[in-house]
Amino acid sequence: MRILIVDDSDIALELLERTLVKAGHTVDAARSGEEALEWVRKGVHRLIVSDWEMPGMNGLELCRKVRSVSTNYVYFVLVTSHNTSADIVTGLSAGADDFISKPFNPPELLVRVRAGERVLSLESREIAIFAMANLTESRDQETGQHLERVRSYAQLLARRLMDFPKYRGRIDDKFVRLIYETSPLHDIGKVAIPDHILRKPGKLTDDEFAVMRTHTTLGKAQLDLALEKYPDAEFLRFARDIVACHHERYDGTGYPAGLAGQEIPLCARIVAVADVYDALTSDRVYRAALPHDEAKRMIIKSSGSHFDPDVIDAFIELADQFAAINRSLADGSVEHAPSPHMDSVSASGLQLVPS
Amino acid sequence: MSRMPTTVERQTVTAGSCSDLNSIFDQEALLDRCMGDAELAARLLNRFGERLSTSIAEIKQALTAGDRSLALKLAHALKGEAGSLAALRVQQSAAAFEAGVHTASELTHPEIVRLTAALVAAADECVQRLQEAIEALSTSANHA
Repeated sequence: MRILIVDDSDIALELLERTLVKAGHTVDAARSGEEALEWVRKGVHRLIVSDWEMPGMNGLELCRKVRSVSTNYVYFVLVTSHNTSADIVTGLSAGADDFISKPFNPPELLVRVRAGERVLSLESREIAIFAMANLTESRDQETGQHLERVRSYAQLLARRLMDFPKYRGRIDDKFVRLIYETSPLHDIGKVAIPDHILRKPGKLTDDEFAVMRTHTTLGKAQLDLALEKYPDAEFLRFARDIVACHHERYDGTGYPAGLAGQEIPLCARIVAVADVYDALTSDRVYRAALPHDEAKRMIIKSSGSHFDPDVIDAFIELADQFAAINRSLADGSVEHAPSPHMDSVSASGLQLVPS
Repeated sequence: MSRMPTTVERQTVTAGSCSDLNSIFDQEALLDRCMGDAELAARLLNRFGERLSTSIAEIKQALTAGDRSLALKLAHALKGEAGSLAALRVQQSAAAFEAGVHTASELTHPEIVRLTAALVAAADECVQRLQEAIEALSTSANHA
């Protein structure tokens, strides 16, 4: 990793540099906050290790500047002899991610840097997942904010269910984070659906629909391949379950496998509600978006048939928040953002779309 | 008639004053910080020693000029570098000086005079024992 080190003492800089270079990092050194800021503007460093006390711009001011000028997230470690909790609060308020006491101990510095790399890789992972999902969307011509809304709805539902006694221990903060990260991938398999079907402006024939349904199994197959290579990547397993099962129905009449009830992974039961609500409240070529109340009514009516009744209980409590997200993440008007593609709800063979 | 001590005698002298030297320089900590690189440790210690008299002179000037904030900054920087190199006496004296200057009502207060003298003495001692410390460093590194 390319790391920027900042200290007004050349002795301290040399010690920092030696430690980091020996651990395989590439290092650039700045002798002041001002000089560091020049580097930051170039945007080549994702991690900065800076002294707190420096003449001119000190480490805290530098950290604040980094937060305001940097487009990428930069992990900021303050090296300091300020060790009181008040100092730490001051540092954290300025946006520092971690602290290391001065004089530093090399193994400790390397542990802090590794922690920083881990945080940054999580962020990169999230960006990669979302970029992948966006790719599907761009082919699908589905409107821009669909993925953002679906992940927000799914996150809301998961967070609410976490408080239901029967989901205690099954849904935790990690589950909520994973569903937020991976739910945008639900239609990733659509990259393998031919254009004349994917982008057909109207209802599909039975044969076309049969092809369309394979987006679940095609997506699952791709993620299974990735899982073979990275069996410990929990987010892949989570994504695979969502991709494979978000069109399953609680009563067993969905596709591709016809799973029922608890056989359907919980994350997929949650995403099903998020995806259908978003489809209903979005414009389609052959119908305008349904008002929130109408979509809400239809979804509640499908509790126990299409949807898991527990998820619908959470949905009922959260309906106002769904409406708020729907408003705040609304797409442009239909004239500017036409969606010449079949409705994902009707695609699943559900008769949720009013005649 | 005086004569140069033999190698054996020199080693005995070094060993005899070892604990004393360790209270001035924590060689083990310095080597840890340099990840066992005695050459790097020696080079940084030399650089520190060469600048020490300038640092002390600047601190004295700041006191004479009544510039408390400059005196604090200089003492803090000296404390930091001495700390990085485990030059314990200088680090401790600079820390005591910094705390004293921070709280003193007047920079001419007898306590500040005493703390300044202690800092100067620590710096002198550091410079005098520097070569000895550097030699001991390579010995410890070889044994490590």
